[in-house]
Amino acid sequence: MTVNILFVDDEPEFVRAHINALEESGYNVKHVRSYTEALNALQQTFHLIVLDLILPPSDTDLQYGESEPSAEVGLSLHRVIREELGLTQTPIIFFTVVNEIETRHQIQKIEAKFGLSSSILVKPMLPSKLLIKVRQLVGGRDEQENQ
Amino acid sequence: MDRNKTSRFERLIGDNLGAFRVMLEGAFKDWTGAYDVLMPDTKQYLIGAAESKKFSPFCARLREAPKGRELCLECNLRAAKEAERYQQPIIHHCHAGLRDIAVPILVKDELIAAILCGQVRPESSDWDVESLKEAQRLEQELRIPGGELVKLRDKLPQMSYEQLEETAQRIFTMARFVSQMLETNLELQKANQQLRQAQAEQVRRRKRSEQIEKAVTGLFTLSETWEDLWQNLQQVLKQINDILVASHAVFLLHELLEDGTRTSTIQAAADMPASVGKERTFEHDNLFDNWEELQDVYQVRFKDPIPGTLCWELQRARPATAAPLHSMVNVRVRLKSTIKGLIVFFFEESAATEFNIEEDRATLHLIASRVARAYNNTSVYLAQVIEEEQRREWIRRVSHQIIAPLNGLVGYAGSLLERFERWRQHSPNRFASWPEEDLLRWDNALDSILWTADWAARLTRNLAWMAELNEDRKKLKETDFEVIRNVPNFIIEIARFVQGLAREQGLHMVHVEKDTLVSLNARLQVYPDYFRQALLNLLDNAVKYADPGTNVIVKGTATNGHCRIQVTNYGIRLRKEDCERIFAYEFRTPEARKRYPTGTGIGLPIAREIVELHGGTLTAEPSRWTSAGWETTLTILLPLAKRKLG
Repeated sequence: MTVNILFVDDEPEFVRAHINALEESGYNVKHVRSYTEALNALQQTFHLIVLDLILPPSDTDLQYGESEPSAEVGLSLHRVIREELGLTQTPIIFFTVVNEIETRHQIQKIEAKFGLSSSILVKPMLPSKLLIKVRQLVGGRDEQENQ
Repeated sequence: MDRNKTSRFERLIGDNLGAFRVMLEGAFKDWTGAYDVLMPDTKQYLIGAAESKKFSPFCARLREAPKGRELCLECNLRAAKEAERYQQPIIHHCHAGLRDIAVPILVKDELIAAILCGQVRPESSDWDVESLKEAQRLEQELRIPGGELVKLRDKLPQMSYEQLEETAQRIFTMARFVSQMLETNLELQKANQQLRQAQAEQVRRRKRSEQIEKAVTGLFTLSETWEDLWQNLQQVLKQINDILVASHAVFLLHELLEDGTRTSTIQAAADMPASVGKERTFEHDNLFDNWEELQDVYQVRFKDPIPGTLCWELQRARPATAAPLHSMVNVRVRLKSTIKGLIVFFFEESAATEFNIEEDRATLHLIASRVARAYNNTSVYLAQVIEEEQRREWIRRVSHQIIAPLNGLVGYAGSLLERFERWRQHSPNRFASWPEEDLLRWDNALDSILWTADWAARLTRNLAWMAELNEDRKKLKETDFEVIRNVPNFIIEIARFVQGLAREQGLHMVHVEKDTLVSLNARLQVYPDYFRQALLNLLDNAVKYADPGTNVIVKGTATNGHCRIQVTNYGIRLRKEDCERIFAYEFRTPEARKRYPTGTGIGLPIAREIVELHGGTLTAEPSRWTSAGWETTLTILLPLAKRKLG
């Protein structure tokens, strides 16, 4: 069974190596760049979400620079994923430059509501480290095929 | 008669009473009869001549009955009044038919006392006959046994009108002198009283100023928000209100808005009725011209305001039983010659005289200047806070923007390195034609890209740390701390990031003594991201200043309830006097600057702040000379088990 990963990051050029590493390990990765793109993509099912917190609200904002990407957008997407879309079983890895304690607390609060522990990886990070975390949460391709 | 009362004459003459008696004696030295001084306000006699031997037996007999005394007093008072009316001595027939003299002692034409003498029979036979009839009448009235009074009267001396007049004028000359003296005394007493009143008023005003000065010290404390400032000001106004016995007070803040409108808003109000909302704002061109709106704001009605003055009569819409407000005193609060606001004190009629603008100008100025200063301090503080927040936000944003591409660099370099190593392992033939040193160079290059990118990211995090620390620290909770189960691995993982730099510097390696660090397993409790940063900074520092060919050593122990982690290098010397200084921001020793000119001097201070955040200490010992060179050790000491946030 193929493991589908939704990779949400507005700067793909800086995470290309990480996405490649995931794909080379047999994961099916869909990359989106904004809040609205992520919501649209989540009409499909994913086994894991890799989420950068600093996002623009929509791709037009990205294109025309109408509003600054911000951590508020990423946190808002997190809340929507858990509380409105009800995706409480899909693990989320927060892969982000944002390292403030306040932000961590906000993530932990929402995850704790659903009995989940938060996975926060702070950039810069080696692709192999991300891979280790992904395998911990969803298993490797071989493991999935054996289920 | 109440002898306890002091007459006005006695009060005025004061200490000169004795001299007056002597003067009186002198004036009457040739007088054989009695004399006295009547004080009309207390109806008392000064000398008490009635009890003396000089008092005629006729008059003494007359006065034995209370009615007799009463009649005498009434007669004397009438005579004194007449003397006052004419402002001259008068010679009159008393109620008993005798001739008496009343000489007025006047102060500003007002009778203060009357010198009385006489008790003589008229010399003229006609008058004497009339006088006898009076005596007989009195005998009957007072029921004095027949003939007794007449017999006593016959023994009285006779004196002509001219003799009496001469005596009267002589006494009057003395009386006029006494009058002048009393008038002078009166002026002096008035002046003294005014002086005492003025002094008392000064003391009162000084005390009041001191009280107000004490009240406004409440404005010395910096208010860190506008709400705090207005609350503070409200309390101060309330205190000043009580001191000045004012009805209530408001502070109006004047502001010029972006659209050019001027507004005034009540920001603080003491004892103001609840019906006057604090948020009342009104537009105006000139506050003092906008009467209608002022009246609406204060819910008052002015009557006949006097332009150009600071006080107005006003009536306030209150229950009929309440006293109308009498006046309003405005105190302008200026900031750099611009009127920033207005403090208005309202006074009830009864308290209106408590406040005098001219005399209290200094006090008003004190209040205004303190309010202005408090406003300015808060304004400056908030501007600094905003600026600081904007600066922090900018640093945060920039650091995120720098770290993102570094992540890309780390990603690509990491991937290439891993791929390279996999190829070397699984497809060695691919590199069969490569010289060994080329392979090593390739390996090192990738590794260098990796640690350089990571190092740049760490430096950026240090800068972001400096911007965020104080705010972020407040949010740390106990649950953010993790127990590190495998301390050697934790530290090896961190040390890996400086191995590249170590290699560049020509060091052997960064050696992590696993055997010693094992004792810290499950006993080291840290906030991983911050502690990692602190250790990296220490290792970075140790590697940068180590001599080529040496090792940097990391070891640890758990002793006496503490975790101890030590980082040792062999390189530049750390002198005793610099052991504390190296933890000050941007301080670098001369040796450090020489060895590494482009260092920032922020790594160690940040490391210390992080360690202290964990409730621990970071210290440095002076270098000691060894065979490997100058050995320098930096020590982190952290309490074991759970700790309070630092």
